[in-house]
Amino acid sequence: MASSSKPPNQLPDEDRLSNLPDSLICHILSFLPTKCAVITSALSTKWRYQWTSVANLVFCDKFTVNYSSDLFENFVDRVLMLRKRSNIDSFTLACINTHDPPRVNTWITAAAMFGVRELRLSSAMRGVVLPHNVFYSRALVALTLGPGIVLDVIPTSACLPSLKVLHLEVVEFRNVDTTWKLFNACPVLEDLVIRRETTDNAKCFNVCAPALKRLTMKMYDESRPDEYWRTPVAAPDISDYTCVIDCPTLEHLDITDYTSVSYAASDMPLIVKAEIDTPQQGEATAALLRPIADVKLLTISDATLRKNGDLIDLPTFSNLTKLELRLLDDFSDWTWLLDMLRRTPVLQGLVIDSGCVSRDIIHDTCQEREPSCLLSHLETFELRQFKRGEDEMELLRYILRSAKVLKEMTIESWDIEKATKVLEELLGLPRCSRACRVVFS
Amino acid sequence: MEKQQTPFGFHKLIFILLILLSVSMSALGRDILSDIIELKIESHIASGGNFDSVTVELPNLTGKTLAKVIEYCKKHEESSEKTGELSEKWDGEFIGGVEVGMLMDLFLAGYELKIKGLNDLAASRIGGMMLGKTPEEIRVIFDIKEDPLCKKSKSPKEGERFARDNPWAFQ
Repeated sequence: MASSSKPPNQLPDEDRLSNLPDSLICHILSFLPTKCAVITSALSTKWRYQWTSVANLVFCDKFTVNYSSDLFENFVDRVLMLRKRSNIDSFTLACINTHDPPRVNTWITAAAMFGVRELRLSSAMRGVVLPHNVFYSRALVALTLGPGIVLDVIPTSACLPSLKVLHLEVVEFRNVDTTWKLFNACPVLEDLVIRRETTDNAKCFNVCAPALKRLTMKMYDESRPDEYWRTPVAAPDISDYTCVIDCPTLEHLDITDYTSVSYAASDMPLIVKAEIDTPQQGEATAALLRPIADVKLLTISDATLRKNGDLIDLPTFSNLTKLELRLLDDFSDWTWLLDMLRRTPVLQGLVIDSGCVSRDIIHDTCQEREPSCLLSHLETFELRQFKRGEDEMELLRYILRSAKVLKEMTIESWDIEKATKVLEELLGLPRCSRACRVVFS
Repeated sequence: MEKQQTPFGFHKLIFILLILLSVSMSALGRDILSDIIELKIESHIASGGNFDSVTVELPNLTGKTLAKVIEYCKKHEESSEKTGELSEKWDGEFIGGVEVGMLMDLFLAGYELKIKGLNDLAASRIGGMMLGKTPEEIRVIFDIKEDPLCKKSKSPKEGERFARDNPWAFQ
């Protein structure tokens, strides 16, 4: 009985698409770039004006013949003129070509006037200034500003009462207090992603957002040639650049900074997860770590924790249960790691990503008293990219010997033959915890 | 039983229930069904109907479509329990592997059963099949008929004329 014949009132297969109700056709068209949605107007009279009701507009000049500026500008103008006067849900403008700045400005202004909820802008042409009325969009929920967009003077009365998600990807700032004013205008902002370059003019980058939950900040040095839009420039002097983080409700913090910006952060008592990669910055890193001493999950590189070989001044992470360490530096002993573990009294899981450096010299690490987390809390230990260096073996021996409540040791290695040998060796080693399993993956 | 010309009624509901059981329904599938029944009863009462004679109409679903819908729901239920996030890869393979007729069925089923994820997935797949195509190519894929009246006359097809008159839209 389950062999299905068609239900009696189902249409024959032909042209089921055109027979859909208008609202459903509109829903399908909303997944297309506007260029492709407009093309459906030539399908039949039924399709003639379907696209005019679509509330998602995606304009991308790479879909235009020869990437012609004229044709593209004409197209956007007409779409905005002909579409039904209903609200715009989302508006995306991605230009790889140069366009008439006043016109670009008008398009963005129009989007903001039609109550846009999601706005995404990027332009290969530098210097597209965000129109003022965007700063008064009551409906705006998500804003993404890409390369080429400029934040000029932000009006003091700016208010984005619904903005929850903000991405600033290599945006240029024209004014010293731009960042402070911007975040000040976003009372319910929860997600903030910032990609910066040292040429963005934001000498004092001030993230003060009272409701922020997730902050991702990547700061790159111009001299690193890995970005496609970059034209090499002389690295500006950023020794006096500062970044203030005042986010009392922050839960996730992710900071990558290969420059020398100094940080000032206030306490983040609700912090759960943090990922910090700020190599060789010493005090700047310490100033960032102290306010997140309550963190539960921390991912950090050894180069971030140390400066000139010494462990930086660290707080005690009294709630930290999982620590993931990425090894980047070429160093000669594990003493710093034990020092680090002394500051994580309730650590349950430790992951070490051995990366691609080789280390040979070993020091006997058990001279001093073991860190207390090894005695009472550490349950899982994972070593990634294991290469069977003597130093790695030494670490494994040490952990097996010292961790009293260890339940599982995982070693990730590509070389099965080597792994088998190591496994044999490890099984013969003295173990402190009887319940410990050793797993290779 | 399959050949009946009657509108959907209670026996149809039982038929669907049997299918649900035969594909080893999870709790989620039952939830969807009870949700939709509840919704229909609510709207029936809201529009002044009598509770004695509620007819629960269920959307046009063949057993094959329903099995697909359930496959989708089960996968999403599992993965949301496990990791909290879904693999886009699975979604892509799931929707990429069906032909146009089934795609339309899934799109409508997602809409009728208020499974937003499935509705959106199918919509974006249908959209994806139009992406970068000329009107003529889209007509072939979805078997869209041009306006019959224009076909009979000797003048150029309405669609072609429209495209010629509105070059801005097609360049």
